[in-house]
Amino acid sequence: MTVSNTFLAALSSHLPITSSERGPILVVPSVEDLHSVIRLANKTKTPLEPDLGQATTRPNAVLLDLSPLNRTLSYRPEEHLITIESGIRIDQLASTLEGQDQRLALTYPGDRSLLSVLGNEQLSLQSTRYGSLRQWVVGIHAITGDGHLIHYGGEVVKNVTGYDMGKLFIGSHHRFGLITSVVLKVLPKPEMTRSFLFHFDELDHALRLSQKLNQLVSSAEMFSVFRTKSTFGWQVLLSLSGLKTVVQTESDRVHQEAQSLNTDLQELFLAPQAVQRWTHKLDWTHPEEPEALVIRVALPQKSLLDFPYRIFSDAELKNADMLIPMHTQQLWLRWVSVHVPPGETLEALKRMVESQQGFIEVMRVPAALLHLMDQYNQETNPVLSRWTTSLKQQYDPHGILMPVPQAPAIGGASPYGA
Amino acid sequence: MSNLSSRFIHQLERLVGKAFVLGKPEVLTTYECDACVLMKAKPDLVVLPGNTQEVAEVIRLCHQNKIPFIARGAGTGLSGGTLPMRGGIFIGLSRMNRILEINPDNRTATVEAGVVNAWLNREARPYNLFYAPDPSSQGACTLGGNIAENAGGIHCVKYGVTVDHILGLEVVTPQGEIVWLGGTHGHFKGVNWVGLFVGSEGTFGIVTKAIVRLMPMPETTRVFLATFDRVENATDAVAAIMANNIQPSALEFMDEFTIRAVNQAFNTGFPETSQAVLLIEIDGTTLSIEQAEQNLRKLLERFEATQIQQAETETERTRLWKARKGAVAAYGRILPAFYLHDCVIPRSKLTEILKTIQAIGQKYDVIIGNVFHAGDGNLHPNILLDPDDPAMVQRVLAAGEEMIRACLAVGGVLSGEHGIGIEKSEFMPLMFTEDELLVMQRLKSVFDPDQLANPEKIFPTRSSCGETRKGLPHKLVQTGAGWI
Repeated sequence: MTVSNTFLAALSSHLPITSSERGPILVVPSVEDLHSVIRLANKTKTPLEPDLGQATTRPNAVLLDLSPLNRTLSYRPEEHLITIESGIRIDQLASTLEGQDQRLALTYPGDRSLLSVLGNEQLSLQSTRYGSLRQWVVGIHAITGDGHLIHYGGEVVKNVTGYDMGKLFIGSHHRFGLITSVVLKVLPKPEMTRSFLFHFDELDHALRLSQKLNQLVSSAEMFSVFRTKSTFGWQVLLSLSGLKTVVQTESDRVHQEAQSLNTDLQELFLAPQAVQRWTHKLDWTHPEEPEALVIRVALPQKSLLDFPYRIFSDAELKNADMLIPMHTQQLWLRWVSVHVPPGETLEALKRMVESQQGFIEVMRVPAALLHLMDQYNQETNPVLSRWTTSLKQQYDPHGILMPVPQAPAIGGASPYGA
Repeated sequence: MSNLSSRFIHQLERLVGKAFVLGKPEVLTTYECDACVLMKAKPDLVVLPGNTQEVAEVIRLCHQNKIPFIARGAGTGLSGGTLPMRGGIFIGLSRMNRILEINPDNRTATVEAGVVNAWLNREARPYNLFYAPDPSSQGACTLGGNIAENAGGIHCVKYGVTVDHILGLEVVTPQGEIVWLGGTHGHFKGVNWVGLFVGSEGTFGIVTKAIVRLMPMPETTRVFLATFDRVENATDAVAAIMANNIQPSALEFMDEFTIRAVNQAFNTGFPETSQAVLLIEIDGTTLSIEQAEQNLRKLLERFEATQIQQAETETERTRLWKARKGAVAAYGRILPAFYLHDCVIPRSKLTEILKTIQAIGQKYDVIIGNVFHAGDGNLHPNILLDPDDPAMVQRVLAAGEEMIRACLAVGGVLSGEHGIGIEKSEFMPLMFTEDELLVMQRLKSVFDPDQLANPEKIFPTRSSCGETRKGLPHKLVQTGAGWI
């Protein structure tokens, strides 16, 4: 009997277990149950992974279905704060807020769980205006890898009481603990939203327009330049939202600019479903997306606009999907499995990015290239590497939760050696 | 002269120059407290390095000799965050005060830790940019100190606190290594080191440089002074303004006592017949604030504002904000010192808690002035005191503790922007379980296993659940440091 089977057998009389092609999934109905599961996992040294719709990364890891942790614990519309359990689906959360004419600052595909977007600090199309998810979390409850229940913050909008443990857990890919609930700041729905899509053959033209629009509008909420193989050519998605008078005036400016450039402009009427469609379309780490290599490049804004695309061959560039969410200092690149560029290209990209004080992070890989996660996501600075290892030892000494990326063994294969 | 060996002192002098190692008792006296004058303790020595390399060498020497070290900026902190609880040396960053770069394309600035907050804004203004966090002490406080405390300020109700504006940090670890965290892009890979360091009160290491985000100056700014005959009308108006998404860029409250103090000190001319005033700033495009102003005026009228005055000129706006930022100094005309609390509560509880604070003031026969960041629910009850009157000091401490308990009872937290330091450390068990405190303390061990960087801050010495200090701060008594 494997370790995970022993573990599951011990829990089977208490908790439901479902089966899937990715292996057995333990359904966790409450925070108390999750606490017990983590403590037992520590005793039996059983690896655990929240079920985010993808295969486990470790043999014998037990997937946890945390979707029953979906309760709204407190909602104070007048304070613009909601406290929810982390297993809640984004569409369920959005629907709760909708009832009070409120919304999340950052939207994600409705079938994502809040836990999944907290874990990797998921990019949102609204990051252009509203920054990163961590800026909207004012309180957190979590269970550390070694089974300690902790909280930080609360239903207040400002707080410096002790170390901000939320900063440790949000974006750390479930390596040190599992977030069980958060207090989120939310927003009232805007009076008006209008959205536009521009089409270009050349990236340069798309970027030039973006810089111009940047000076013309102040109410941009979604503002991204992207290309996918399904869209052909380059597109600029611009969504204005806010006070009606502002959005109307700035929309007129957008139309005028499009006319002056003789650009192909399409005005989109973004019903919530349409927003969801775009959100889904540009969420390249979504489990339903086809297998692909997805890389996030973090660079200063100016470097992004001057990005040396010549680093790629024509074929690599042609086969790459690209997404530049304006003002987020990020560029996303995606190649479906058969078009993944060779290791030398990725190394050249890494060197170029690091020379500008940026970094690349592999966000998703085809199953056969799993080792790229370790290769590109490990902490190479020795001090940061030491701290990361120490954090793991402090909060998950038995390595129950997701592992920290490790340097490949000496003499290991090249990225494509496998 | 100090508890340090002469060999250690000579080594420090060799590292930074004799002129920058200060040890005379009369000099050390100037470092014995921050702006919270209730607690005092002198360092053994003050070292003033001139660059990051020197900071690293000094820390390496401390690490070798197991000497505690504490970073010190301008000493404007309000929580005793730089008191040397176990002795050791101060590493003063006042010589590291250069703005290294303002990059208008990236909207960033790279600064040394000793740069005064207001200097950065002065230098960014020609580029039509500004640095948003603006503590009341911004004319003196340094960015390194702001980062250590995750400082807020008047405009953070719209623009966020320090952590929202820091993209990268150069830090010296407690072992003396120099490392950059984050960068011009503000992203991280796996662990948000910048987010962890900001607000860690100097207990993880010393920040020597920062890359900060600059914001474009708003096209238009308008400032209003609204007066009220009843405090609850003012506080209810605050809750309504925030609930109705007017999104002010500043929303500040002053009570009657503070209005009088400010008028006496600055001849501001605030109407003294009022029980409370709100200072409200809105900014944005001309288009957007027209509508925001209409909505704001309607709300203020609904809550029976007796006057709504708009500052018509830049000079007038500056005068109003100067009065607000100088309010705490104005109390000095009434009594020589104050004890300032920093709890944050849900905004909807403002009316209730201000009544409670007033009742506590009467119960303990102490004078309390309220001037605070109402839009954030970040209270600042200032309890005035005469440090030479021990009975008064005891009443002030007791009143302070009761206020803290009242704030926590309505879902508040201990500190919104001043940090825990030593001053609030014994109250931490009121918010966290013993287990939570231990888990939090493990974070310090990751960075500082030898407990040399600003030791004995944030966490209580007696961490049993619900137990807090009675009377004198336990740690100060324990270490023999001075009390008042």
